[in-house]
Amino acid sequence: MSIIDNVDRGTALTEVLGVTEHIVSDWDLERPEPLGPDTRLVADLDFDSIDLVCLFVTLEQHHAGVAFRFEDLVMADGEYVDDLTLAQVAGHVADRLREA
Amino acid sequence: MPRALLLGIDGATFDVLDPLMRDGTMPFLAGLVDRGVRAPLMSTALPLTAQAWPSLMTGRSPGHHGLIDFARFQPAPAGGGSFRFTTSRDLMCETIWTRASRQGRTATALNFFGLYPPLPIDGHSIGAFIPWRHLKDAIHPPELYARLQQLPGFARRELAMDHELEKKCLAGLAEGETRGWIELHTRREAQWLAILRHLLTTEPSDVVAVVFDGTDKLQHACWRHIDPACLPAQPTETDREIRALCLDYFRRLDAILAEVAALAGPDTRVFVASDHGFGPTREVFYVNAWLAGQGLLAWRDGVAEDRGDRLSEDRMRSLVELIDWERTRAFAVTPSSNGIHLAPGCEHLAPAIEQALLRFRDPASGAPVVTAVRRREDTYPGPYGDRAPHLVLTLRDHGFVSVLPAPTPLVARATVAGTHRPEGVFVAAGPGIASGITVPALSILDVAPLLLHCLGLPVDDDLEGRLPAEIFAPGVLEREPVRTRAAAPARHVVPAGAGSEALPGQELVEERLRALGYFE
Repeated sequence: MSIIDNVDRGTALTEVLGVTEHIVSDWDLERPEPLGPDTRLVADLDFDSIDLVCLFVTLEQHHAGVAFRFEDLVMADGEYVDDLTLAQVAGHVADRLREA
Repeated sequence: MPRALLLGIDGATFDVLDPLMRDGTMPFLAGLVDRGVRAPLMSTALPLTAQAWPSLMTGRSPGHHGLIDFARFQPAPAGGGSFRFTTSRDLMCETIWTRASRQGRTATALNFFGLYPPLPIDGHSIGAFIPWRHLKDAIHPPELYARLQQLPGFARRELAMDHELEKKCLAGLAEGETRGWIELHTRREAQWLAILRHLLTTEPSDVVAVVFDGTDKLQHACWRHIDPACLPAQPTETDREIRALCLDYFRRLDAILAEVAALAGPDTRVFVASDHGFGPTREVFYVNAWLAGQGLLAWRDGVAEDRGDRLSEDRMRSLVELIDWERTRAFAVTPSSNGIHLAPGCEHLAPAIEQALLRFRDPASGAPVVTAVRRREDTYPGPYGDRAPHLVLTLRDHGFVSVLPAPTPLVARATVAGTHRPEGVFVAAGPGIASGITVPALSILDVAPLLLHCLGLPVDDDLEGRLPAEIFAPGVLEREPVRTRAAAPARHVVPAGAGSEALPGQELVEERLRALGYFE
């Protein structure tokens, strides 16, 4: 069961933005720009690996039973990627939801 | 008031507690033992918080409940793989908190590993090993977080876990950092007391359980100041100061236990349990360096060898980048799993690696270093045993392996540190509990049926432990016979009314969608 029906890339981005906003809401970050598709999790929001897990877990909670395979998002050619934008996360979420 | 109170003391061992009870540092615990029952409590196959507390609260072994380690390694088809911190989404068995909730009992479970994200229960829970930045989403029900923030002394950065500090602790604290480390955990236990005071006086659950984990953290870093057998013959001023701070921690912990038991009231059965024991470790076994020496693992060109008895890189994922996966057939990924993974297609190497490990000798003494090598199917029977490494090692001092490159596989530590041992502690006291006796070792799996019984509930037949009848006073179990029942085929059943609150971030997501016209 998902909290949003018929997720496309636009709604997935909206969801990722909302979840990320919630997560960082009490991090005391100095963040002049509002969150947007180009916001980078590591460079802009100071995400660590466990923060990524918490983001992914929250998104999984929103869509119970969907296999998001976030490991495919954080690894490229056997190497961990250095950073991810919110648009990349949203694209992955939308793709997996379309397959589900 | 609660029918049962479980005071978890992470890593507690009678080797440390007995002297402290004798010398008056822990008078409450001494009194509890005097008027109750004590026993060794045997941990899970690997005495590790990440699998032992989940076993205690599910009554199932790790191969069944699925939490084997703090991180889960997911192999990639082309070699190597990725790490992911384990969460309650990996927990495949129901907790006793949920079982109790489903049968009309309320439960409070604080600081247990495996409770993030929170599972729906009728009561309260706070997950353990959660960084402060995610504490708000580790608390059930969500509105409890706002109430906790109003408590005197509430400091989210200290109540939650600072992973950077944790890594420093396991790697060895630098001179001058130890005092702050001990004081941090003393303050942290005081925060748990404040939370328990609040919950026990406003909404006492039928079963209240809490884990105090400063013991584990102090014992890792300060074992040589805590274990009477390791105290230096000629202590320096710093040695004396650190020992005094450690004793102060245990003194304050004892006072906290006393207050929590008093708040629960005289009609409550009180249980003390640890997830594993503790003991000294004097060396580091670099298992990947050993595998490299056997031609089973290749490092990438130019990797730096460890020279400081560290167990892992600061960033777990860094290991993936140290290994040449195309030329590697066997590897260890985390110290805490104490195990070796075999690359796809290399499973046949298990017997040879096992024999070679058992033949490995300390070059100085000629003594064996690896005392047991077990297959994961034997160590973790159950549907989720394949989440573990193929081979699980036991070292002669029960230490954790290092996964780093090193010039030689075995290195003496600069100073004695603390490490986990299988034998933890169990104490029970209160109405109906026998008085002043010691019983043979119990299993950590026995605690779940015991708590369910004390809640007046039947013991589900899928629980792997037994109800330890020997801890009850004569005649008690005739008056309150143990009931059993077939387990409900459920993983995490939502009790009516519980878990119906919004998911983390749901409000903000809906607000954004509303702005876009998706919601009316």
